[in-house]
Amino acid sequence: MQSVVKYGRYIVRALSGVAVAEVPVKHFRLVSAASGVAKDKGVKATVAALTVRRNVNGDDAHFIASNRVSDVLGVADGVGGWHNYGVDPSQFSSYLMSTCERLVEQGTFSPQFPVEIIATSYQELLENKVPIIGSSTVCIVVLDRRNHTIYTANLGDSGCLVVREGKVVHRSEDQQHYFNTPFQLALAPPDQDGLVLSDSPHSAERSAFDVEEGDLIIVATDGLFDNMSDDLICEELSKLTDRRLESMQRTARSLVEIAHELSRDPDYVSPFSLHARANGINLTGGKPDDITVVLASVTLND
Amino acid sequence: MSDEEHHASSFVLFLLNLKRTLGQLVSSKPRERDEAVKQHPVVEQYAADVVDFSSQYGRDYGLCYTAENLKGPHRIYPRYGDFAEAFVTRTYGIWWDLAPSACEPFQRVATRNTSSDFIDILFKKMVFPNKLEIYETFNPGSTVRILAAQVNHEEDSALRWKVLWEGMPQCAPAVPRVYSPQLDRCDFVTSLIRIEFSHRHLSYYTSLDAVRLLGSAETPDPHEMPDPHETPDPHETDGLDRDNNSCAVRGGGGGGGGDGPARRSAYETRRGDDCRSLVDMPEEVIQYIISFFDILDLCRVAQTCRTLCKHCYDAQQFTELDLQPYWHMITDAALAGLAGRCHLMRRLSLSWCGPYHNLTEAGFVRFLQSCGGNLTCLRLASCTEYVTNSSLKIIVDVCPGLTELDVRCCGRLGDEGFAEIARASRLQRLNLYRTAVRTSEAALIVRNCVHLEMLNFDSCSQIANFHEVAVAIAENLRELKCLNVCRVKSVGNNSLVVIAQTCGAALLELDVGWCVEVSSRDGCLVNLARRCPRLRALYLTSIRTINDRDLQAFAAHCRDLEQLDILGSMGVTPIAVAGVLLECTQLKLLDVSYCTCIEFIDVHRWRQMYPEVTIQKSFKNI
Repeated sequence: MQSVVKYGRYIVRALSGVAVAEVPVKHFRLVSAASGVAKDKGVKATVAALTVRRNVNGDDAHFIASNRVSDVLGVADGVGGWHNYGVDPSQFSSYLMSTCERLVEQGTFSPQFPVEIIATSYQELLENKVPIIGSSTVCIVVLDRRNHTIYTANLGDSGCLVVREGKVVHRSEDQQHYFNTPFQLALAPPDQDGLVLSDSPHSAERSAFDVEEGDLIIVATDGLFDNMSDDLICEELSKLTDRRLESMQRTARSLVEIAHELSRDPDYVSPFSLHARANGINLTGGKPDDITVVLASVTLND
Repeated sequence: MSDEEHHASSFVLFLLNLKRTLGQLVSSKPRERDEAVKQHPVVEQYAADVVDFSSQYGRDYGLCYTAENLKGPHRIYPRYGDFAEAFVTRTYGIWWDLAPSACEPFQRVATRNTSSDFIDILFKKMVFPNKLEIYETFNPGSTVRILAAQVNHEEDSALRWKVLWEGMPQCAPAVPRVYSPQLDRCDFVTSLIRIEFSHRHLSYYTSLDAVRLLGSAETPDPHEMPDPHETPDPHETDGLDRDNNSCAVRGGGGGGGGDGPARRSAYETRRGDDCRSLVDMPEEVIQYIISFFDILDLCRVAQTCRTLCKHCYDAQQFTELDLQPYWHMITDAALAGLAGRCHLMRRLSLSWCGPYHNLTEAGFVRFLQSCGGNLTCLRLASCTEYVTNSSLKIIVDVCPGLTELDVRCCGRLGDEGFAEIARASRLQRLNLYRTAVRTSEAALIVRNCVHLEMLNFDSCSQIANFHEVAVAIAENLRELKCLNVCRVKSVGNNSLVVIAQTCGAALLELDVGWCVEVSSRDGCLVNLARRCPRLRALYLTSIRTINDRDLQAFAAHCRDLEQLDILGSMGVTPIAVAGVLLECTQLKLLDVSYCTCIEFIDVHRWRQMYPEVTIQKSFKNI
């Protein structure tokens, strides 16, 4: 049906070579790099032979995609508890991300509403022949190339930061039901229906922010934010002197390495331990977790 | 797509195919190699858009298993398996022909292998095509025909389709492949390609990943090319080139045109020798013999002599007319030509015919008005251009005896059109696959067409409240045998309960696949099994909640089951499946793909124990 609506009788005219002229506009685009590490690198058994293994670190997954009008970044953190049910938690997050990626490539969404990307992808998981089980947090950032604005949607405790000249100028809000239990999308097995924590994609926190050339955007799972404070992140980013893809990749990797290092330090006063203490739980040290970082810089397209 | 992507993807492809490519180079003759170097720069492009298609496994506007997935470079290749990112057709094999809902075939069978599905692909640049690469990633071997469209630059004039390749379906090994049959030379630039598939021989769904067109933007060899302005008008072409419009196109009045004076005298001489010839046989025998010819042959034979022409143009030969295999030849003029012989026509299939304005609504209506009066069966699958609200009104008015109507994929039909269908009160079979029918019109049809035996609402996503339709079905359709509501989102357990209660005893086939609201809860499926003892085909695809209790009920009550699909069930254990295999002795097809508790080893054991049952378990290779 959709094709018919799109084309109908105009196919002949289209075939005659009358192409739609694109208006050249000076617009922004993102130069993006991603890096990540799994919590128990090498230990994890390869359980799910059926899942898409691309862009997966442990239970985390991410994607970087773009189409004519927008650049989109996303991360998802699969909830580890599903291991106990014999379900690979990365299955849900990786399917969610790869579906988002395809949605972006097809360009059938409005950049202003990243929540719709999440909602559509979540619905699409049900359309797969493979029964997909699990739950995940998710954070999506869309740069609308035309109006130089990023639109974010964040469900759970992943998040994004915008850093301008060494300072955090914008950040997304965490969403937690209670300490260490973030909002999450979920698909439960039949016998668990109704017993599993499941939030609507539309409960995601959303924001819009005008970006400038040179701004750095970080989209990452809680593995980064629980182990590195904003100051520490900015400090690392300040070492970035240019915006070439290789430099970006190097910085993304070093962020992950530092966070991974700190997460294993039992004496480190991590943001996670501070947060725990604020909730009356006495904790010290980092939080070992899967860590995924997507780092992007806003550059002028030429 | 950027050039970088182009180069990157072609490079990857090159690496993957390195071994094979080298092998081909070594085996090819030196002359061919020289030619390859000499040719013009080749434009390589992946599909820019999917314009039309006859069926897809996924839902409209979805991402999984949809035709849109053919767009862009390949994503799956060189992996092999049942991936959601591929284009998958709605059917495979012979199972839908064996099901109770199967369509009665036409008497006159086309000699060429008939295609079951097609897809129209648009590319960005117009090229002279010299190679088409089809990335097949699951059950390859279904491609049977490739056509290119030539555009006449006058707007709204007919497209001319040229068959670039035609062949048999292939029995290919279960490995991913890039299929690129040798294309015929094409003397025009094109950007619209139609690929036809036949998957009756396949053991499971076929998956296509991408399509790449290679061709040059310039004329391959300017010396040999005819001036485009001198390209003969297909309507006036003599002879019976298989890629041109055939003689079927030309009017009935001038029939038997090849009957020149020289030939006639030779014929009469022989007659004078008292030599018995074909035409001296009794008329009934001649009629019987030519009833085995396909339409094209019939038209060819008509050109041999007056007597045979008379027989071939006899309206008795045109009581059943299936033009789907010749869809690319059908224009307004072609139908006008046929109209003279079709006044006894009872069954007509114009499926796929005259896409992109080759056949206009006016031409279709004229044909129907002149010879549609006796029609009982009318198939109009993918006839988007001329199956409209207004033409449907005429169909219903002109064909009062219509018992079968197929308007699959006719996307321009609106509410008024469906309301017109409701007036065809003698309908027994109605196929509305992928149409925009809505709740009130669907209910109206059901209330008025009380003789419906086969009702197909597959992928009718606009039915927002199926329960209203279900109640109407329960109240009116006492003879309903086959119901397909696959992918109708609003189908819930309550609808199934209502239908099973009153129609269950007669129901032979039910497809509720991908209805996410249907579940095993409240014993709904057990109840269904009890109420529908005669079920022969049951599709419960992706109803995740099916459990052993449900299967035991089907094994106990539905002893006639021939086809059962429980793909993607999460609760079914091997014990219950074994029970079904044991009890349902008529079982021929069982699909347990992606059932989380069923292992390949179970399936393997069952296949040995029940060799007469085809047991499907799909897979993906990473």
